[in-house]
Amino acid sequence: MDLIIEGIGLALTWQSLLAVVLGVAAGQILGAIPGLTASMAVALLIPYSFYFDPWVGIPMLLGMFKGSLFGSSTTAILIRTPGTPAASATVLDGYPLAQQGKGAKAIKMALYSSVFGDTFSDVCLIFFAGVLALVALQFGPAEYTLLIVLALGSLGMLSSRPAWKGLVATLIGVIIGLIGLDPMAATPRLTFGNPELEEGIGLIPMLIGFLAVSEVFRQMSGSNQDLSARAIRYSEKREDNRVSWPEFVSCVPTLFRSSAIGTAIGAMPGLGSTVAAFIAYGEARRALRTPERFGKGALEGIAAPEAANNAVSGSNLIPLLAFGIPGDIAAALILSALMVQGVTVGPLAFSQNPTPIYAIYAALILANLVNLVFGFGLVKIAAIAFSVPRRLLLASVLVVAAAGAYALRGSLFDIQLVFAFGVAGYLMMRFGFPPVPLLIGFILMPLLEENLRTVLPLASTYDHHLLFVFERPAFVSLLALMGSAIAFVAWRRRRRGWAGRADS
Amino acid sequence: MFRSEAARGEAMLLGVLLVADAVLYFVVIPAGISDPEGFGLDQGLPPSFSGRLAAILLALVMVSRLVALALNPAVAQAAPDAGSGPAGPEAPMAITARNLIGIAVALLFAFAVVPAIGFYVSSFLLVAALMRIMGETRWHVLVWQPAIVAGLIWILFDRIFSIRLPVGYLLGE
Repeated sequence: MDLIIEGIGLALTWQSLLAVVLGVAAGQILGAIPGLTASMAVALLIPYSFYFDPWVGIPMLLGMFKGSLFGSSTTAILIRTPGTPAASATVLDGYPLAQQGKGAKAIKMALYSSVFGDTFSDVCLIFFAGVLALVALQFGPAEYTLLIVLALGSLGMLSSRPAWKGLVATLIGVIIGLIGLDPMAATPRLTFGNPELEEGIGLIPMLIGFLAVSEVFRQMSGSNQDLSARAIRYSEKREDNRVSWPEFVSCVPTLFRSSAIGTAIGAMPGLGSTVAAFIAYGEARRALRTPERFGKGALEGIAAPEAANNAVSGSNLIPLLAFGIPGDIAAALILSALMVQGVTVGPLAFSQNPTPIYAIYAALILANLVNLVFGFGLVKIAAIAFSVPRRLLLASVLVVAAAGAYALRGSLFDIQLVFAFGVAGYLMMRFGFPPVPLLIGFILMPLLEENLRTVLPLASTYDHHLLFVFERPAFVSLLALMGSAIAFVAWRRRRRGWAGRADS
Repeated sequence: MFRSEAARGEAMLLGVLLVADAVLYFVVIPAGISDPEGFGLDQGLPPSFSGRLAAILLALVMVSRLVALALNPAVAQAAPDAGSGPAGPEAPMAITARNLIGIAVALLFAFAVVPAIGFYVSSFLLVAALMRIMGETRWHVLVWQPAIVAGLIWILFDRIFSIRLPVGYLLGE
């Protein structure tokens, strides 16, 4: 107990409080800039954090990490430009809500969901770090493949009507994901001699091009009157600018489900917050009784991805703190900062010197509270920043998008890709193909391929070939869990169908 | 076979996409991905495996839809088109001359102007040109607003983040 109090004391000095405040504020602003991901925000701050005491530098980094995840949803909601890839699922319902004048409500829902998901995963981290890490380590290529195939299939089918367009878009995303060097043979694929393509297509140009630039091209056809009006207009009605208690309560089941999904995914190295957000969105849509509201500004459609992507930020520290294994790039950056500051993590740290671990826990919870308080300020700042005429905002989005795409790899080619993908996204919208499944296919492609190409040769070494997967308890448990979820949803829909026919 | 107008339109789109998929499978993948000798299940799957699998799945999805349309053309009429799902609330829109000019200007910016005169001057020109295309006629607005945008980007990227955006081959690179 003394060690816990000592750890909390380390993180609750006025210097570390100030550091968290600065980190969250900087993270929220950096996160809102397209192209600057949470990892990049952390990477930008790391050199500065070394000048401080460890318990000033580390809380500042954690605060920035959490702040940038929420900040990125603001632009995703208001101008359909996710600041980081993790916020791209938030566009789906956040942007329609903003178009109805309810941008403040959407951002506040994103804020509450972010803090909820964050706190949920931090609590899991505090109480179940060891157990969750052990479960996560049971997941091998077969389980990853199953998880990704089901995610791709369900999201592709659910994201459009007719469903074939969503599936086709998903598969096109998978094919674009092939471009670059083959991960196993290291031979170029679909590069046609262009050295720029050997690194593969960057996720940021894809996201910005297909979501933001295509939307700018689409909105250009508006009337002169529309284009000279304010870009973002918040409704005058009070209820449109806040999330009421009944509205929040109605989202609580979604928040718990999505936070659990995000926590589970974050505990598994490699999947990350973008995947968690899309899977949680798909699950929320499947579980709700009124899935037709999704895509038109459903609050659950904001709550699900935001809770999930923020839950990842806490739980991807699980393998980091329990085993010293970073779950993603941001966790790896935090690990490097901890190491430079002389803080040891891993199994021995829990038994020999747990004080810094408790200090990290305290800093995480503190960062959530500061994120909540500062988030309201961001709603107001966003309202002012986006009150410019629509035509100026649209043109500026293109320029900021291009600069953001360039910033990540320093490649002029990425600027060109942003605009090429913008045209492709615009044409896709024109012909009724949703761009988001394409992005999901592209994001999940490397993981899927890596795992599939490990499982299939592995299967050939077993007597029963692919049936070997059924000898794996983790695979069978996951299959049973997902099968039950799908069967439950199918049963509920059928029952609803019967009820509908009986009513008519 | 495809009795309704909607079914015919969708079938035509599917036909075009199936041809494109065939080109992908038989031309693009063999030309763009070379499988090293000896790749098989024992050594790991060949680099073209995923591409071929995706192309086959694409064909299966589209052929299934064609069969569904042929058997029951009403499915085409029943299906609301573009963006009724969560991926986009936007209705399908006509492409206007303003869209085409805007797209052409943006592509010119990315492929010709930025490499030549660098990011900041190009940004000024792009914002001014697009604002003009979108109906802004006041010349002073067409000067000061793009100048502020370019200036803010310079402060943010160059001064704060120390990220050097392209200068352009005509201006020093």
